[in-house]
Amino acid sequence: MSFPVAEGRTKPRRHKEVLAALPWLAPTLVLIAGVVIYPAYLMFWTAFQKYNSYGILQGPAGWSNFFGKGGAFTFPTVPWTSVWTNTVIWVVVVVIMTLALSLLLAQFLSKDFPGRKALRLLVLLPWASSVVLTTTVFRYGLQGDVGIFNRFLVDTGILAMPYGFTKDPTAAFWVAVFVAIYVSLPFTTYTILAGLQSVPNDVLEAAHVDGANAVQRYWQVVFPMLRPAIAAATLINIINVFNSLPILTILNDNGGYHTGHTTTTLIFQFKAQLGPGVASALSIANFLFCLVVVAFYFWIVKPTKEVQ
Amino acid sequence: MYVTHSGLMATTRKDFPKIKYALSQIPSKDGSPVAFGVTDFILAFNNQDANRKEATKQFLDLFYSDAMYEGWYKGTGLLPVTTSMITAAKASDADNKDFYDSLSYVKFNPVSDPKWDALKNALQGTAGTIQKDTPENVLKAIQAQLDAAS
Repeated sequence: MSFPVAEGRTKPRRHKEVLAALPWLAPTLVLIAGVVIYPAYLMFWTAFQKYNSYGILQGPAGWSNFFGKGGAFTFPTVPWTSVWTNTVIWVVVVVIMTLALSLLLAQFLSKDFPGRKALRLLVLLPWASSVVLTTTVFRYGLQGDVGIFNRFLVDTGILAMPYGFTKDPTAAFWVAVFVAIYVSLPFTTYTILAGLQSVPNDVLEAAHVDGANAVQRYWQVVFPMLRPAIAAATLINIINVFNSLPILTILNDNGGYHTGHTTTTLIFQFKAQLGPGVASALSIANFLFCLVVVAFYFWIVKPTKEVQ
Repeated sequence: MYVTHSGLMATTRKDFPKIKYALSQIPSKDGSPVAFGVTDFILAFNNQDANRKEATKQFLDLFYSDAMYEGWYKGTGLLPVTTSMITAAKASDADNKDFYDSLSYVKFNPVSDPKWDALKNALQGTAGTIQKDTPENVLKAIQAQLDAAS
């Protein structure tokens, strides 16, 4: 028998359920509206207003913050090829290296050995310390006259005389890549470690009985089961690394629009020198570029594909 | 040998009294005296409000009045900026005589010029490229940034 009336009866009940849930949802909705939606709206509004470099509002600007005389994309002496390639290399190299090293580290930390607990706590350290603190240690270490890394390189004979790493945009960029991998390792390692705990032992034993060696066991059995953990870790890493400002800014001691900029550091340079309007314009472009990178990642890697 | 200012000399006299030194002019091409000055400056926002403007004027008049300003500038160890204080200091302050003499030809950054901020940023960012580029290109780049930011 069919019940054509049943649908009509459940609809009002669903509406009532949503209304009943609203007081419990309200704090979260207020928070999302205040902390996410309102600042995003403000950023879009600011991008179409004219500001001077002190932040004084000077009236509507149309598209001149994007393509006008002093616009984000048309300001002279900005090395745009360097900026785009730096941004892509920055995200791709840091995320891939972090993932590779984290897979190794998580595999190691999942084995049972004495001192494992202490080592797992130590691995947490770069994530627990502030990024500015870690980067400043490297910046001071690379200082020309008294920095310990520079002195080490000179005393061991690798360099003939101290090299100004922070004064050369390219050298500073690659040191920043190293520091970014260093501070991203703990989070990715722990995510993958959590994923490793969920790999059932009997599947591994079955593979061993079937004659698979260690390498085959890892790539055919363990790695596909880590897909959700890797997906989560990589996505968060992409977004974090893309928006990472302190590492690049602290290690790069050059002025002006040098060839070590990414789009994020360029936004802050515009904010300081050209005002909030131009910086917001570039922020919108940055946000869209980040969405494109994330969409590309989902398209190529299909990390949420079902495990066969 | 290094470029110095009155504050540094005050510290030297206080902490290192046994050092022997002499002050001299910055060398110049034709021997005429050269001095570059650095000052702090006060920035006030124009809120299109006559009352606020009047209050700001009264505050600045009070701040730079002889009674208030003398204690202030003597605490910094630097030179005063009001003419009454400079005349008084020229007579009383013998340690900084050379610096007071240079006040007649000193040059400052044109901070009150509206184009100065853009020029300062352009110079700081682009002047270093003279290492690898011709002076004409460097000047053109600085001018382009100045035109774009104005």
